Amino acid sequence: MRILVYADNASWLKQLRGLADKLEAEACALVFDGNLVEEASRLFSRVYYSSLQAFNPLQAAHVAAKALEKCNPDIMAAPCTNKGRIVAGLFSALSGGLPVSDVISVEAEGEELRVKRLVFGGTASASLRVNVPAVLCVSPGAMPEATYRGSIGVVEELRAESAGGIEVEFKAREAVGVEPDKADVVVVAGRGVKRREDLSMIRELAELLGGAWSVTRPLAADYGWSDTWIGISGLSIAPRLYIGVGVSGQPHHMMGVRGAKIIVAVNKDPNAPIFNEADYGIIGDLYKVLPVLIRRLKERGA
Amino acid sequence: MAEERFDVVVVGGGPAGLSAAYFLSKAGFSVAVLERGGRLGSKNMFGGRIYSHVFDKYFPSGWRNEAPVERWVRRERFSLLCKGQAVSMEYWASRSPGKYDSFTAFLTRFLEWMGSLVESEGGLIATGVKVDKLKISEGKVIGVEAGGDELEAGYVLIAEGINTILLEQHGLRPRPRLESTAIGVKEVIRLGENTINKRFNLSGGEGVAQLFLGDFLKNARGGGFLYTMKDYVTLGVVVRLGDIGSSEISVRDVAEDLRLHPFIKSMLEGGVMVEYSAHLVREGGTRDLMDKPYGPGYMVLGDAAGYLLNTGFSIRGVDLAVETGRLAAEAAAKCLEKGGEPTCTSLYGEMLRRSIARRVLEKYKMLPEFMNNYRLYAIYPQLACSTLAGIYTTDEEPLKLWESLSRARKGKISLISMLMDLLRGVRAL
Amino acid sequence: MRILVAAKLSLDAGQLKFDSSGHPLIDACPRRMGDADKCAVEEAVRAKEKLGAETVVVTIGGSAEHARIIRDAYAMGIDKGYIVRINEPETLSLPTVARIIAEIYRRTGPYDLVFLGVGSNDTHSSMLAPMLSSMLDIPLLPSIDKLDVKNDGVEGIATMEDGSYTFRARFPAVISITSEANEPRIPTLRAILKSKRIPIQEVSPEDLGVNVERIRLENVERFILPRRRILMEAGDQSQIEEAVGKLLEALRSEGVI
Repeated sequence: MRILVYADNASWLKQLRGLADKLEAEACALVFDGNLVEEASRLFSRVYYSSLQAFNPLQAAHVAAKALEKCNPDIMAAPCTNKGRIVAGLFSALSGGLPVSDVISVEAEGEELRVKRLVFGGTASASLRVNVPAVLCVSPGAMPEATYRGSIGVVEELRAESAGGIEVEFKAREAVGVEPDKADVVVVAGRGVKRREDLSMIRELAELLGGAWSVTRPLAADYGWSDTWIGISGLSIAPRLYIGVGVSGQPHHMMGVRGAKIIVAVNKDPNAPIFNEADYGIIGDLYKVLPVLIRRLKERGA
Repeated sequence: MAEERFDVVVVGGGPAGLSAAYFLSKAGFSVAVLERGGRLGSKNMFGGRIYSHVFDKYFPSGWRNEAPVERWVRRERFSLLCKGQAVSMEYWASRSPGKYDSFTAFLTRFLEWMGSLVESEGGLIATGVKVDKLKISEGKVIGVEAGGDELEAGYVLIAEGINTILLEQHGLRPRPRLESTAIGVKEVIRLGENTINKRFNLSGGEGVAQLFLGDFLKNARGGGFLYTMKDYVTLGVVVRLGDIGSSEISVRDVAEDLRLHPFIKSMLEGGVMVEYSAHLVREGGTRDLMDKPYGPGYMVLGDAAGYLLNTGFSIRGVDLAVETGRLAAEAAAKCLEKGGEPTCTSLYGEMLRRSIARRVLEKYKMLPEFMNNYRLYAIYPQLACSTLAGIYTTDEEPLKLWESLSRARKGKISLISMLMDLLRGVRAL
Repeated sequence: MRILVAAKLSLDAGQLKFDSSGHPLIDACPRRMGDADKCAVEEAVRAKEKLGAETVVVTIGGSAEHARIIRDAYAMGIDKGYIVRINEPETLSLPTVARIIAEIYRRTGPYDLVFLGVGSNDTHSSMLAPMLSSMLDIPLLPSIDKLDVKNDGVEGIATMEDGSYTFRARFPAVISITSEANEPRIPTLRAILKSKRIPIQEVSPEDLGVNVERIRLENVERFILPRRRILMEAGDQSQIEEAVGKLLEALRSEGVI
């Protein structure tokens, strides 16, 4: 079998290489970011690269079509991120492959795949049998990160045709410290955090742990305390440690943190659903617990 | 702006309102039903049982096959619960009682079915519409206002249910007294059809209705109920608000204690609660009836007019509501044919007075008084349990019924009181 | 201008329960138009109010609830609706869904804009919009949080992992709308009553010449990641100190701090 992988960061290149290894498939990679080419070539024997004007879906479609032609894959894979889902959709339309999103495991059985995906806000998994060609949009943290191969792959640049019909302007996210989807530790504030200024506590905890902070959807979308949030409609993360502070654990949020290695929750409501999905839970008032946690971490640091 | 006009506007898409809308649209009148909830029935308190007589008499003969009936009630059980003990009584009939029996249903589905009847007769149903006020001109109700829109109508039928916001707002009905209000809590528990058939000894589409009294009530006046649906069981309690304090938490505890009683726990083992709801409930009965459920241009239907029977254990209201709806439709139709005089609505009052719904309530006139008796909830269940425990737990010398009863009641209740209660019970029931 | 909106009847995943063996109780779970789909309907109606347009909604499925979401869209201001009658729409393959909508686009068009919710409440694959764009060969504006429809084209802003994107395109275009894009209107009484009188057009996949493919679903079950679920009560100060101490110790031994 042959697999074509699209990824938009280094961790995803490794995770999707991990998928290819699991399927014992020959693998090529498609990247739109020049900074990823070197990383990709350490992991994949063939790398297709195209510099897009920002992320232009039309250009992406053209390049994807070229990459499909060159790689001729049985399986196409992309991360379940905003862009990854778009590329996966394009892969499917271009190849006629059946798309499956939010994939958490894949097994090859002869000419078929047995795929497990998350549904219903991550509260359930569905098992499917899928013929190739297939398009898999993979959930964060579902695949082990592969290590570098000994050799360096061949890089081929694909020319992106002009993006007739659509214009794109990109404004990079303002870096507020470490970015949540790249950090090892992420502290997330939920609705239990009452005032905007209390986010300083969240930020302080994140800094002490050398990580990033973010919020749940209501704090961003409804209160405007942040531009981004963690959850299926925002960022999906897979840090080593996730700490939810005053987060109740709604399915659409939890779906975005499923990939975390360790989940810690602080909430005063013992019935908060997040406790069912936490490794460690402190049932208590965050306004009393956090100061102690911060103090103890400082003591240790000093 | 040209206002829309209907022959009849019905406020409330419950059993009463939909019944009225069905009969009116069937008779060719233009009708709009305005329901506050996002779905029909989403705001109703309902235990699970509906009596079929009104449907048998007045609905199309195929209704039994079309309505979303869960199970036909073929077993009536009554249980007294004590600590680790239960005493039960069962009425069992080998064949279907036929025409005038009862069935279990989910009210939202049942009302959806009633709604589809209304729509197939050309009536309009709008959900998610809160009627802000009645439109009144020269002392006559001529329509309604909702979110800035107005609808005019020959007659407005108010079927807003137990929560009589509109009637109270216009001073047509006083706010209910706390003492006459109860709170009902209901859980819907999924067990699966086979498990229910096995555990409750049922076959085919047979169902059980079961009522409970006992120590789970913690001395409050009220009762518990259980109805079997096809795959689900509804379990709930109704408790007097005055007895339990006004917080929902304590009613929750009552419901929880009922569910955790070993007798019930074993019935529900492996079940998953899929729904929990709490609603205020009127005491109902003749004392709760509106003196004059009509006025110029309007009629009041169903629960809103007090047509429900709270037996203490459970609420009976759907059949009564449907009946009032049918009568209101008949009255409105006659009035509209005669030219639509606003004061013609008194006809509804007369019809209502002679109705079956009224007779049912009259019949249970003594019930509230009887059900007021605290002994019913605390002492008698315990007495029954102890007495039977005395008989069935033998050491050397078995007790006879009378001996066991005397022992059990010693220091708790006098023989005279017991006899008085018995007499009251016979009169009330 | 003509606008097509695709809406899906989806489960309210937050209210889904499971039986004791872990099977989802789908029947007991309420279903409604997806949140993002509702925002897509709202955008279509806003565009109509701003520039004048005929708005058309399409949904796939055969139940009374499917008809209800068409009526909901009518009540919000949509002019015309199609139900593509087919049983068990939840097992249709995504390419089949995309082909059905593409055929509606072709056969009932021409359209200037196609709106979709970015993802549904139950499966949230978010792949339909790019698939449609590719099949119809018209530009895609994905995951739009803020939309501006003009006379000659459309501009939308999307937030993605790395920052914000502003997309501009001429008609026709496919646009996926997020649930942050707007606050869908609550229909007025008049609009609801009017919605009841607008007919719903019914078509079948055969009418559209679409070959129906289903996914091969084997099993759906509750998904719980194995977590340790070690819970610590922290009511008073000494409990808090103790709980925090234990937590830090545990995290250290897990090697995550």
